[in-house]
Amino acid sequence: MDELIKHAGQINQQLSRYGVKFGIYKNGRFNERLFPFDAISRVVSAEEWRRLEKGLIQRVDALNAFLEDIYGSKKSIIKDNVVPEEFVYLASGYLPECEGYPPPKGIYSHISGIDLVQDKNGDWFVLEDNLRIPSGASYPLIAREMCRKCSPETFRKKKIVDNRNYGALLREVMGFVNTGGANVILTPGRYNAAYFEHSLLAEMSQAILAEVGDLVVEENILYYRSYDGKQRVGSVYRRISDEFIDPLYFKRESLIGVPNIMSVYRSGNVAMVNAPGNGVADDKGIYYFVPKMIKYYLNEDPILLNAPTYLPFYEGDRKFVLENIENLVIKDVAEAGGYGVVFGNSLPKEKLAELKEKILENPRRFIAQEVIDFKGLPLMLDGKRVERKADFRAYVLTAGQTKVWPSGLTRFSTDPASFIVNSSQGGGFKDTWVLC
Amino acid sequence: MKWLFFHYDTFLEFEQPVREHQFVLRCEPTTNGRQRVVRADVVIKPRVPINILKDGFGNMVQTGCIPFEHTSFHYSSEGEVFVFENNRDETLLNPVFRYPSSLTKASPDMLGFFQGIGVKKGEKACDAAEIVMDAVGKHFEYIPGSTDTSTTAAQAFDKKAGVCQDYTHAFISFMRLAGYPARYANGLLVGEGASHAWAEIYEDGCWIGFDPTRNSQVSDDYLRFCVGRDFDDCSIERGVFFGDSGQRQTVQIKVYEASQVKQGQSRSWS
Repeated sequence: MDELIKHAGQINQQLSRYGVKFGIYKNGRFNERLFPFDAISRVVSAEEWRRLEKGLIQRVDALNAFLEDIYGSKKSIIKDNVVPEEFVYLASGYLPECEGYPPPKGIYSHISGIDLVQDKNGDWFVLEDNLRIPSGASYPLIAREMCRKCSPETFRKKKIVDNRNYGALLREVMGFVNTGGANVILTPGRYNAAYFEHSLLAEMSQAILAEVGDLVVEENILYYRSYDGKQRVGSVYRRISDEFIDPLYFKRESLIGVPNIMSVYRSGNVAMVNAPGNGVADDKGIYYFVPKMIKYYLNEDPILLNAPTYLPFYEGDRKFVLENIENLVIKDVAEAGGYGVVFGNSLPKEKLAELKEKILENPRRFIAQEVIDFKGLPLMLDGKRVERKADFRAYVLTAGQTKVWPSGLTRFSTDPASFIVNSSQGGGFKDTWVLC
Repeated sequence: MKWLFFHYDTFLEFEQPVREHQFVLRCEPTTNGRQRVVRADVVIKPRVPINILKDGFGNMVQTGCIPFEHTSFHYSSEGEVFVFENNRDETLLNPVFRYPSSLTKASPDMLGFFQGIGVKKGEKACDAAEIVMDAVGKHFEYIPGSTDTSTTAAQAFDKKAGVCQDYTHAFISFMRLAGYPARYANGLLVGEGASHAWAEIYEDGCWIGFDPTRNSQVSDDYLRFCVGRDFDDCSIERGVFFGDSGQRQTVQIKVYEASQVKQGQSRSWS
């Protein structure tokens, strides 16, 4: 690792040349900035990884079962009173346009990004599921590549699981649900914050990288159009969110979507990775119910824990939340990306009273969580070794079986007081080493 | 029961040629508890292949693309449907119809109004619907052109004016506030020269039609094309194309009872 720290400057220079950037909207303005890399990796032992892996597979399998249940005709988890109806139908990610059509092979979430933190005792907690278009896999991929160039011995001597199989996993995922035709990664274009990632993943998975004008629907078939003619598309890993994907079904003013792609999809003529409508399962309100889903669909005890969460929707929880608000994190379920997250202890008295009133007015809109004092990781800041809060995003891929990529994105906050490590909120990243 | 003949025609004319015109149509009636389709044909011009599928609400959808340049788009839906008098469509409930949608979300003013109209807890859905329908009818004045297709229930409520779409949105909004599932229905009505919107509410496993614009239950004069949370789910036509062009739309509708055909009415459209 010391070898890598020496080369950290060079690695970061290389990363910036490759365009490893992140775009942030702040005060209504779009800024692109480098995503700083820290050379001290997170290290996960083989034994710890096996447990994490099992828990992640279990969680994603349950979430897929939930999506199949909700968008199918049974909706049994609602009928059996495990998940209250309003949490499903008031979730902004629930799309009735997806009712009554099972996607190819019944898979909804092909690529899931599960965010976890580790507390001081070493226990892992899931903070959030991302089943729409979780980004970030390219960062550890490219960083590992740079590290390998700077210090090949590190990877020769240490027994670190090779993470270069992400492209192959992605290819397997797209291929498994392919309805006949090419695999395509659809990007909103090179001004998108994650364009670098889209192009890298296309290259690694040997898929075609398409922009919106390249895809066209004819006679209910999706085609990729280029100067060499057109070819049929069987699987599209789209990096455009649901509401913009098809102006004939969702936002009418969307210019980045493919008109009628939803018709092709609903006719079974193309697979969409991930399926539209997944937002209902990674909703902040639904999060509370994921351990119950695992029990309900798989009849297993959850291996990974949720952070202790309270739903003001339930009277008992509401009372607890209002009394203990100073010690809780309050999250607005309508917001994403680290926005709408408030730490009770950071608010002045009037604001706290305001928040309490909001909760009483609309209890379903909020969840409250205990602050997990999660483990900090060492990192180099201005030449000094310091400790900062860090989380971990695991990438879980579902084809015939669900597999966890033996790597992942470790993000940290540079602000010593902050617990929010979302890349949209600033901060940097580390490589994650899984040991053999 | 009525045996209805219908003929629905829309002509879109573009000032400049357009191309790569992708469209989605919802103008074909489906067979369900309240109506049985004997025959239904959707034809478009220019002629391109049409694909038929069902959307998430169970509506028949016709999709297609006119890749080449064209200056007009004509689609017609024509056929015969038996409409039953019972006004009941038995289906499983998608609970989404219990919750507000973008066009039917109630404003604080609407909430206040709702509390004043006296729908009692535990009231039968149909009784509640009569009360709400009455209140909506008294609040609104029917003024064509006072609203457009993007007007929300709250905006129309403020204006105290609107057309069938607005009456229906407001009605749905209040019914959902009262806790009853309600949905938007779009179709044709005997004697009307434009498409018509009404609402359906769910009781005892059935959808029952109410027409807030006419303050009455739906009869066998109503032929249904599609249903959804609100107008947005029920657009008869949605399209996008390449080209910088203004457009003009003409709609022609005929709906009448089969018996009138026997009485010698000419099939003037043929």
